[in-house]
Formats: sequence, C-alpha cells, structure tokens
Amino acid sequence: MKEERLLTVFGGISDGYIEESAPGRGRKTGSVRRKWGMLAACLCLAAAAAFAVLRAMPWSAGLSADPQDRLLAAIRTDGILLDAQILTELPVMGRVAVYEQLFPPGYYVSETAPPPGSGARLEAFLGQLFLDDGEKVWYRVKDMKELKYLISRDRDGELKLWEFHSFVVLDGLLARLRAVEASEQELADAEDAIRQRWLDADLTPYTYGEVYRMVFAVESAEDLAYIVASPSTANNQPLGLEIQKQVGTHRFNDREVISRFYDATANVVCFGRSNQVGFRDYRYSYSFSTDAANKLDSGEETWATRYLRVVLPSGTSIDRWKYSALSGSFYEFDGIATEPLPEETVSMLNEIFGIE
Amino acid sequence: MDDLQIINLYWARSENAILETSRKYGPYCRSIAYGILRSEEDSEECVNDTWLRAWDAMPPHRPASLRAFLGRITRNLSLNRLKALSAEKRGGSQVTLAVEELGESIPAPGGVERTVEDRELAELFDRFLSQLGPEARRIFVRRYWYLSPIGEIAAEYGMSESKVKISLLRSRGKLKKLLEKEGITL
Repeated sequence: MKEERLLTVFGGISDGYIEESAPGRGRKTGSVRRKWGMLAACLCLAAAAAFAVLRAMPWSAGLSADPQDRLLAAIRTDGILLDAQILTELPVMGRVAVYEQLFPPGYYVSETAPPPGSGARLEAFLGQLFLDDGEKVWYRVKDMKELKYLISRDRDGELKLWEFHSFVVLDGLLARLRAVEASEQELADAEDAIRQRWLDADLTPYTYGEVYRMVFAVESAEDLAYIVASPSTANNQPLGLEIQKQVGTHRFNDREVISRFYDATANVVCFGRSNQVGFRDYRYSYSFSTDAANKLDSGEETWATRYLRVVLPSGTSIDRWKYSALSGSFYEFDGIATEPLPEETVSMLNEIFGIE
Repeated sequence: MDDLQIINLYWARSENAILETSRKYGPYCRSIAYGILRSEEDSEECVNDTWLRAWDAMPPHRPASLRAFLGRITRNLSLNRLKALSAEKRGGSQVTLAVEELGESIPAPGGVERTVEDRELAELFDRFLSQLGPEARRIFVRRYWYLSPIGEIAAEYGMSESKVKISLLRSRGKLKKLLEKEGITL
C-alpha cells in the first residue's frame, strides 16, 4: 500500500531530524543535556536531572495490603511505573544517600517537568517528618518503617515520591568525572565542593549490609521474608526465551538459603554510581560456556544472570539487584558497581540459583 | 553515562551495555513502540529486541547518534510487529490515522511519472524537511516518525490541537507538491 510505504520509508530520514523532534524536547526545562561540567555541578546540587528511565515494576498491579504496593499504585499508570532519574542527596545516618524521583501518571518522556498537582495522591501517604533541608520538607511513608521511599514537599506544596538509589562514594563520583575527561583541576574542584557540602559524612565505599540496616531496617537474615530469582530478559530471541523458560522464576523460602544469601550480600562492597567496573572480564567458566565472544547471543548471559527481588516481612522489597555468574558479582541499575565476590561465594550462589 | 561510553561498552561486549542503554533510552524507545503498538507487552518485547539488534550491530557499527539509531530500530520493529498483529485488530490507531493522513500527500496519477527506490525517497523526505520551518518540521516528524497523537504534540509544543492539524495539513500539501514536481509515483 502506497501510504504504508510512505510511512515506512519516512523512517529513513536523517538522524538530526529524529533527534530534534524527540519527545520531551518541545519544552525548554533548562536542566537537560548537561555536559560534564554541569555534571560536576550536579554533584553539589540538591537535585540533578540527567535522563529519564521507565521501568516495568516486577510486582503485579493487583490490589495488595502491603504499604509499598498501595504507595506505588498511587502513582502508577496502566501497570507501568514511570520513573525519571532526577536525583537528590540527603544525609542519612552519617552517610549521604542518593534518592531518585519516581514520577506520577502523565509524565511519559524524558526532560520535561511532571504536571503540577500530579503528586496530590501522595498526601494520604505522608508519614512522620524526616528532614527539612531548607528546600524541601521530607517525610517518611506512612506505615512503612523502611527508608526505601520518602515523600518530599516543595515550597509550593508539590509532593514528590523518591526511592533510595545508593550512597554517595567520593571515589565513584570522581571516576564518573574522569570518564567524561575532566581535568585534574576540575576533579579537585568537584572533590572540594563535595567535601565542603558534606563535611562530616562518610564518603567511602559501603557494604550492602549498611544499606540493609540503614535503609531497609534489616539487621539479620531473620528480617528477610523470601527471595525471588528470575532470569535475565535481555535476550528475547527464540534461544533466549527458551533459556528463560528453562531457568524459570523461583521463590526461596528456606531459612538456610536466605541466611546464606544474606551473609553473601551483607559483605558486598558497593562503589555507588561508578563507572569503575565497566569493563570486567568474564571470570568463571561453566559447563555451559562457549567460545562465543557474544555472551548474550550464545545464551550464556541468560543462563548466568538472575534478577533478584528480596522481600521483607512488611511486603517492602529490595528489587534493584542482579547477580551475574559470568562476572562473579552483583550489580544494580544505573551502573552501581560492586566488588567482585570471592570464588567460594560465587560457587555458593550458583548452587542456590542452579547455575552450573 | 554518555553515548560514547555506552557504544564503547558494546564494543567491549560488556554485559553493562544493554543495561546502560535500557537505563538511558528505555523510556524513549518505549514511547516510540507504545505510540505505534498501544500495548505495553508488545512494546516491551520490541524494546528488548531493539537492545538485541543494537548488540548485533555494534561492533562493527558506531552510530553517530545513538538515540536516532535506537529509535529507528524500535520504530521498524514496532511497525513490523504491528503488521503481524493487524489481523488480530490490536493496537495501531495512531498508525492507521497517520497512514491515512500521509495518503493525502500522494499525487494523483497522470503526467510524467517515475518510480523511485526507498533510498531516493528517504533523501527526498530529507529535502522536504529541510524546506520546512523548524516548528513545522518538528511537528511533522513527531506525527509521522514518532507517530505521536495530535493532542500529545499540541501539549508539548504549547499550542492548540487545531494549530497542529493546520501545520500538518500545510506540510502534507508541500510534500505533495514536491512529489508532483519530482514526478514521483509510489
């Protein structure tokens, strides 16, 4: 059909026209497409807008008694939760926590501000006062003891929902700046600004045990209800789908398994938002390994990766973690890097998740 | 992470390449796929397939614009999927409308005509777009490349829906004239 051909061939127009017309570029927000210098400035600012992400949340959209589900339902649209990487930093128990804003319905694409008044439904979830940083007043979420989510109220009364992202690690931030070719002077200025802003804060690498304790009120394995492991969905070609089917999604309720998992994760060293570990070698060989350089197409990546969801007795879940047997380490969205695990820990986790 | 770093991850065959791509361009590609398919499940699959195509293409490819490169793949995959789904009457209302609208640009038979290859036609589209004003061009591309609904375009550009429609009408008229002038038949 001629009309369809026109539409199809129109797909071949020049990149520049596609770029300039991308959704979200119609409005000027003054906070987009920052170059590295702006990135350095962002490290010192309360909020940093970079780019937007959209994530299909792993839990179902069904009604639930859990505070987390009800909270997210308040800003969910059509079963998909939209979140954007607008980050802010807050002092939490001697460290600097990075929180990421989650967006309400109506906000679909990057680089535009969410519509005013769209956070109104969050009013019902306001809990105890957590912090007043001069720009925003921060509240815990009602009926939720964890600090996974916080609600902020701007000076104009607008409510926003935030999710814990990571802790600030100075070396990790500097590594990100080096990756965009900052000069030594610029690095020194950035470090100075960060240290001055967070005078007494601990900016060294942290263990995930600290995240468990400070953010999720988890002190031991007893505070974890169960773990769900599902296969990587990066390869949706026939082979990848077949492997996903074979791997399947498994729920682990066994206390011994949970205890071993907790011990393995509580000691993991995290580097925050860092590019330091961007080019890791594959460290382990398995029976399923091939010589293929392309571990995704070969299916090994799907075999060896598990998306993890750790659920607490309250129903709140820790769902950003992934485990890769190929690199022998955990990793999170947004390049949150962790130290590779000892070989015996890798073996133990592989046994739990059935990776061999 | 900037685009060059992401492309380098693909070249290094790093497992983080797809993660970082998804992180940065997930919403962009998903909005393209959803605009065409109007189904979250189908959009999700197209976007996942986009990452896989990107993985296949890099190396050897080093796209000048990663955004446009990924968007183009998503658009193609989504339109292909839409064809497969059309028998089931699922999704695609924006595509149907856009196809009908674009049909107005096709010159009536008659006069000196010639058929052209897709490549030549794409170049003609580029020439046509270069002749439009910046606002009209963006509106046209949003409608017929991104297949965005009129209301969404109007909201983003701070104008009424009727103004968007008029802009599109004029642009389609110009496209028709250009096709006629070039004596192109489809």
